[in-house]
Amino acid sequence: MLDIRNLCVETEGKPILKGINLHVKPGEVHAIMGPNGSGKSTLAHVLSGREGYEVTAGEVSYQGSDLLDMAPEERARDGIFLAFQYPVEIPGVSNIYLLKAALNAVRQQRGEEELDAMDFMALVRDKLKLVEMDEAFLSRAVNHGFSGGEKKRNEILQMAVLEPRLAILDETDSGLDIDALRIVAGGVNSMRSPDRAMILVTHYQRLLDYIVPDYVHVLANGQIVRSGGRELALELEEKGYSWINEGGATAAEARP
Amino acid sequence: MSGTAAERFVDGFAEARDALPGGTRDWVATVRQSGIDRFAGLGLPTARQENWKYTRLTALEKREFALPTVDDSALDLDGLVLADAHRMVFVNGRFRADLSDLSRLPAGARIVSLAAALEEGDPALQPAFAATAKEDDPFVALNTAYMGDGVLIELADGCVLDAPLQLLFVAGAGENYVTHVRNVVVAGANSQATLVEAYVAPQGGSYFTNACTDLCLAAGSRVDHVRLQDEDESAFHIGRVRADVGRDASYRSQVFSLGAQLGRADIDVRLATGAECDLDGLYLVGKRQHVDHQTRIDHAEPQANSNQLYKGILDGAARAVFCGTVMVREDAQKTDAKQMNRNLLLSPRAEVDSRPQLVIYADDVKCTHGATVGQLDPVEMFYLRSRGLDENEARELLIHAFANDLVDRVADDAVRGFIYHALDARMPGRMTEAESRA
Repeated sequence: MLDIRNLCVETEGKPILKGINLHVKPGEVHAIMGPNGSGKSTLAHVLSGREGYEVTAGEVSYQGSDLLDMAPEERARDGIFLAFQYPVEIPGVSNIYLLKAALNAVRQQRGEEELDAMDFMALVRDKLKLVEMDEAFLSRAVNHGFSGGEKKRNEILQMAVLEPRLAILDETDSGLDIDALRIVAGGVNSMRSPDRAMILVTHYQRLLDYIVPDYVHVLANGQIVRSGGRELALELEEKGYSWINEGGATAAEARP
Repeated sequence: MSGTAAERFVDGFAEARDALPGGTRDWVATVRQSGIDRFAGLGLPTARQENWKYTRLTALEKREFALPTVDDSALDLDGLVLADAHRMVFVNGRFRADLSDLSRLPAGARIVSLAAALEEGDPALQPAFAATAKEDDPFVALNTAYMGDGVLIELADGCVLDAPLQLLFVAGAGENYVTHVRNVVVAGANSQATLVEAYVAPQGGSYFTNACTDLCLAAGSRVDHVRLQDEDESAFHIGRVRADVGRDASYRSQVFSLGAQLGRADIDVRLATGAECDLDGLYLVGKRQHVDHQTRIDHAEPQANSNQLYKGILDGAARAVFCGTVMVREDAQKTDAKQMNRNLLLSPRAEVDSRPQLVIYADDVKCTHGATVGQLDPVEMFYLRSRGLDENEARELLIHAFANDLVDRVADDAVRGFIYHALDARMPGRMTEAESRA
């Protein structure tokens, strides 16, 4: 589904990703872990098409297409969803309006009819339950005045409505208390399916107690320095990231 | 073409006056003469005058405008008329009874065309023109001299106009004409009305609208005044609203300026004790359009509130001016005044001059003001695109979002729909899409 080969990315002339290789198949959940500044969020941004990054080498293939050649909205319509680390507040645009516009864009791409108002509301109500959100959130402006936990749940609501093929969750656990984390993780877990892949970007292993990944990759200084199964995350939890840097090939470049 | 523009207006008056409505009535003729004398003394405004500092009238002055020809043609007003409203339609500045509907007015509401009232020498009009000799606005003086038609609204004490009154001014056949529209609203104590004053040009045309609306709100009355300027982009529109808001009365103005190559919309409000006014404004302009909004609120007496929010969306090489003055006089203790102007620039060539001003002589008051100028937020753009909206859809949605709170504040559903419709047709997102394909 997703093939990242030797991806090198700079921002403002500074190299951030230095040769990432990652292969994700349908149904798999991959966790990307790493210390602050390792390039985790950059990888999520580049995959979703955010501006401000220059790809200096490598390629990314998504379902056989050149992902880096696609506009952000083309990626979204083709089934890529990024759950933002900092969901954006948009005063003046109602949550329900954005959900509908986004769903219609995706459905149009899939060659499906627009949902009528009744079916759309039924779908949204169903998904609201998944993230334990009140219907009142629908008429509020997108993320405007939402608490940190509400914003993250709103991201998962969008994801549930859009049913992406590849979901990228950028630090979805940050700023969540344990109850909100449980709800968010529940929503994500319910969406695991054999034809959907997920990439979880996280600093802490805590999230992985709730969403158990198939693979864990450790990103340090712009490179994947270790890959393994779930046990790698537990090892990190125990020993911290300094252990990776000391033992890794990139130790000389490692930051304190 | 001879003389200056001002001279042409003055010179043309002698020939025109007898044919103007009420021209043979003594007091009407006197008022008109007083108007033209005052205009001759003032001349057209220049950039040396503080409230015309950012707006040049050169394009207007180069043109020669005649009085409009009569347009009696059947017009397609589909999409322009408000359902279930009382309605007066004016074409080329002249009342068209055949297109209007005043059949369901409640008792106590007297609504007649200004031309008819002038012809009859209606005494209800006289107070509105009492100060013409001292008029300080040349366009109002000119309007008083030449006023052709408009409306006289008289609401008896306690009269509630059950549905909005739509005043639809349609640019009809012809070019290079000027209409001097004059509206006079006299709202009795505790009366209520919603007025929708709309200037539209479904067939286009290059002309000049010089409109003036005078409102006098008696104690406890409430007037909602929605004003849509949706003129053709080659037209000129100078609009002036003056509201004298009596004790505990409420005046709510919502201005939407979308059209005209040169548009000006002035509002002067005087607030008595306990009165309140809300002034909302939204201007959405592109290409080489120029709009200028000026508000002056006079807190003359204590305990009055005023709240102003003007927002602007500018594309292309458009230019906008907002100049708002809140005057709090010595006696106006416990005044609460808020004033805000926000602008969204969609193009590097667009330009805005914003001057919110407070002039305060009282000491126990609460006054705030501010102005912002910004662009579409790239982070918001990316967020919407990452959800599948293309660049134009995202842009249009954010522009709508910027404008929506002002449109949402239009209380009446049908009126709000009417404004949305006009706004939608002018949305710059569409324009850009066409441009990007070219």
